[in-house]
Amino acid sequence: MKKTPNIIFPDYSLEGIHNVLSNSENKKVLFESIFNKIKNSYKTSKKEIIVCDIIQLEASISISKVNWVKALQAALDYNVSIEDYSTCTQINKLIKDIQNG
Amino acid sequence: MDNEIKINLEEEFSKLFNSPVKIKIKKQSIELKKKNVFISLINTYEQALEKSNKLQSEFDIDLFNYEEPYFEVIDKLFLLMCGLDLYDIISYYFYERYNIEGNINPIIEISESGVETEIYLKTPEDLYNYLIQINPNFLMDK
Repeated sequence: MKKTPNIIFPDYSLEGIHNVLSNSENKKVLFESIFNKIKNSYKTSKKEIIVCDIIQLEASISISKVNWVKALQAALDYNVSIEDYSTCTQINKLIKDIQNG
Repeated sequence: MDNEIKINLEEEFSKLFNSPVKIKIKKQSIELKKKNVFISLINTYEQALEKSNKLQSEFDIDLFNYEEPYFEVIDKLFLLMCGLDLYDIISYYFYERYNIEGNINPIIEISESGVETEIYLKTPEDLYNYLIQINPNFLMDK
């Protein structure tokens, strides 16, 4: 399994966090993490995935299983926006697999 | 973590992922916490010794009589905490590790077959790792 990415924030104001999360490289890393983590977890008994660490705060960002499809939908929208249709296909398949149980 | 930071992070990540997120605070293991406290303790003690030596060598101010009881208290606490064998190593680390030229005097270990190994303790972490090798539980029962 790929290493959990670490996201670094220069400051923790709403604007500061927004700027970091709007960065295209960070978005790519975060949505890749969502896709890979859910793909590796949906057939297991895991109840959440850790999307990224914020080592400065000794914290992590997690998404509960009930929200995985919503998060994958966001990953899909992102990949549509960058026209990565190969990844879109894989995400779509994963969404269907999860929905079909 | 400050509650405002937590709220800001949750808000921005939830917006990006279009789904609720949770902030999880990582718990350090007890072992790691104790290691960090030990390393910080060794660092602080060493800094205090260095300051004291500097005052004497550069400004000719000798605070030995004033400081000695404090160092003695800490030394005795180390002795109580670690036992005599490990205390000897900690004491070596503070007071005998460097020779007059400023180089590190290694600890010489002799195996049962008579082979000598030189151990260089450069940092408090090296010291911790060496002590844990001798007694893996040296901080765990405290």
